[in-house]
Amino acid sequence: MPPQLLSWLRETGRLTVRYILVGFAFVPAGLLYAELTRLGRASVLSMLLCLAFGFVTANGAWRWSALKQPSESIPVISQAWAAALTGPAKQHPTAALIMAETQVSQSLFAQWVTSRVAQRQSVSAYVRSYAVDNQRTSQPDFAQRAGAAHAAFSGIPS
Amino acid sequence: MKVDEWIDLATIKALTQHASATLVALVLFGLVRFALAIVKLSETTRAILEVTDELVLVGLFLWLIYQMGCALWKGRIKDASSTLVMVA
Repeated sequence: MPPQLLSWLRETGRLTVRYILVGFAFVPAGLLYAELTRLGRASVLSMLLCLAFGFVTANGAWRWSALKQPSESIPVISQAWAAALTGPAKQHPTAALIMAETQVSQSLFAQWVTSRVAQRQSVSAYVRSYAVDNQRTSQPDFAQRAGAAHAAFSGIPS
Repeated sequence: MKVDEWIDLATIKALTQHASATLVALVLFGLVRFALAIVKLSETTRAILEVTDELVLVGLFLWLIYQMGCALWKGRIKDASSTLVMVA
């Protein structure tokens, strides 16, 4: 089975469970209202109060399920923070947050440097190959097109 | 807004996921109602379950509309459209 389909099924399953949990969260409010109805105290006000109670429990269930079933796209900083909070060297929450931010900054900077180096290498390779082609074909607009290629990547430090 | 700005793969994924979740929930709900219909229960219990069932349905419907309103308020069109699928 393709991994995309598996991922879709997994996420759909999680979503279904979350919505079913929200539905069940309304059951206490429903039971309360049913009991009020049985006692002959059903009114618009009691219904609204029961619905408000249901809203509170449903929102609680929705948030709880979000915490219990984190998305695969959970931010990197949250993972780093969780690791700093619960890892072998447990940190104070503030220190853990600073540590996680530092780790994520370093990681993101390393990724940025890697991508920029790769871009520079690809531009250099492009210009070099174009120069070889130009020498081979002796096109007169080489300097202009090479300059345009450099201009397109003008943000890259040389 | 151009169509291809918001109908992308992520939107289609979210919409199909919400539609599937709704279908599964509807099937489960139908099974529960069927089970309640065929199981012998006292009148009191049946009345309680029916009222509970109605309030849960109304509450869930209103809660979905509330979620959609929140998503619209925050400008999350994709979430709002996904929730609209469930409401529909």
